[in-house]
Amino acid sequence: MLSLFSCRNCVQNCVQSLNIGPGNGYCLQHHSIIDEPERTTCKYLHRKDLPLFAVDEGLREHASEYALFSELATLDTQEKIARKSYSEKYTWDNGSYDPVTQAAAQYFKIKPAWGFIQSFSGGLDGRRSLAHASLIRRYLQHCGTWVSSYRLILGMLQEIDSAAYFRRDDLVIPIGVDVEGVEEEARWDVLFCRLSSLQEYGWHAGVEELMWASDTVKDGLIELNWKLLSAELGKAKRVWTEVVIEHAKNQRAFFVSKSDSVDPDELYEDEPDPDD
Amino acid sequence: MAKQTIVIIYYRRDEKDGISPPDLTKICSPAEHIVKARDKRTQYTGLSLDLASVEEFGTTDYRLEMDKTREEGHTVVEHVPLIDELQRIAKSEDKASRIRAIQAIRYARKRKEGLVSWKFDISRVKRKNVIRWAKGKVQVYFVRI
Repeated sequence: MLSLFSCRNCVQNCVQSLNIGPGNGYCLQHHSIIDEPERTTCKYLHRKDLPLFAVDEGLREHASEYALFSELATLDTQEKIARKSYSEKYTWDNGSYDPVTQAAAQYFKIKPAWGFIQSFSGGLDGRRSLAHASLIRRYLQHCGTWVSSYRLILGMLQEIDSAAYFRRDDLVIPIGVDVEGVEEEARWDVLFCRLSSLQEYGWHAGVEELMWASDTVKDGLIELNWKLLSAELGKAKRVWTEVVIEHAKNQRAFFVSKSDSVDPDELYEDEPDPDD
Repeated sequence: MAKQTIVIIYYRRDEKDGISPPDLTKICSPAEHIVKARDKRTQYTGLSLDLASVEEFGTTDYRLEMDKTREEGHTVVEHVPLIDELQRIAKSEDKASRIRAIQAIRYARKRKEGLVSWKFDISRVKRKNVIRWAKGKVQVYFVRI
């Protein structure tokens, strides 16, 4: 199943998954629009569907297969794909504007990055939820430490038992496949991306209970029974939240900087720059 | 009243030049094969009870010659036993295996998947030639439809 190795299943393309986000994707690694995400890949692939440490062997094999490509490449024919920079004007000119991709493409323009990532939380929208969990995983991997990410994981955890909702236009619906089936699959895409973010956090933090968090809710997962799983997640998230906070406190990293408080003297709004 | 026989057919969608060869040197669990945790090619070949669910896998449809496959010593892991096995792994194997099996259950159900586990003797085949050797061997178990 090659699509597991495509940009659709990579956290660097945070706005799409195997079942979510038709059309173009956007890659934060290569700063490029992805015209055909299901047949595009690269050596930096970071899978959405499973935690990195559970599939690292397969990813190393994939990386060596694409080692000679510094850019994106086609998955089936292994040919390089030229970078295509994102431009808001271009999306309007060719009718491909998409609000979630537009937001993701601003990632490197907005500081601090963790603040930008937090702004994707707090809703039931499935695409934004997918982007939120993907961005957390990307950030965690990029920083290479749990210290800068515990607040992001705590935010994500508060929503982990919420079902994601989708507009029909948000789904990748193959011909002959019913919308309800794809919507259910899309919901699982979000759930597994969220759960994997917690597990990868557990790996970075060296906290076994989080690393193997799927074990705590395995009855609902094995049955693929959302109702059962949601109840399991509702209980588990309270425990996981405590574990994250206790660990961060024990490591003397729990909100030790001033960045969590909002100083009214520092509040300002930028005037939009018409040339930007 | 005549007893009805249910004929179970397994399909594969692949490229028009034939079935993609397995890598008989890559031994892994069914779950690792399904989620591609170790390698893209393993000792298994994936099958499906429903061609529509594997449309993305290629351009050409094939049918497995199940009796011939079994008669010649290979193992066909059918869909229901495969799901049972994945559920067993997800409940009782080591932690990393459990994570992979959970996702494998999802993919296997969606694709109504079964597997062939090939039992060829490769002791006299040079390792670097195994994939090419296997390509010639597995084609005879499939009929293009």
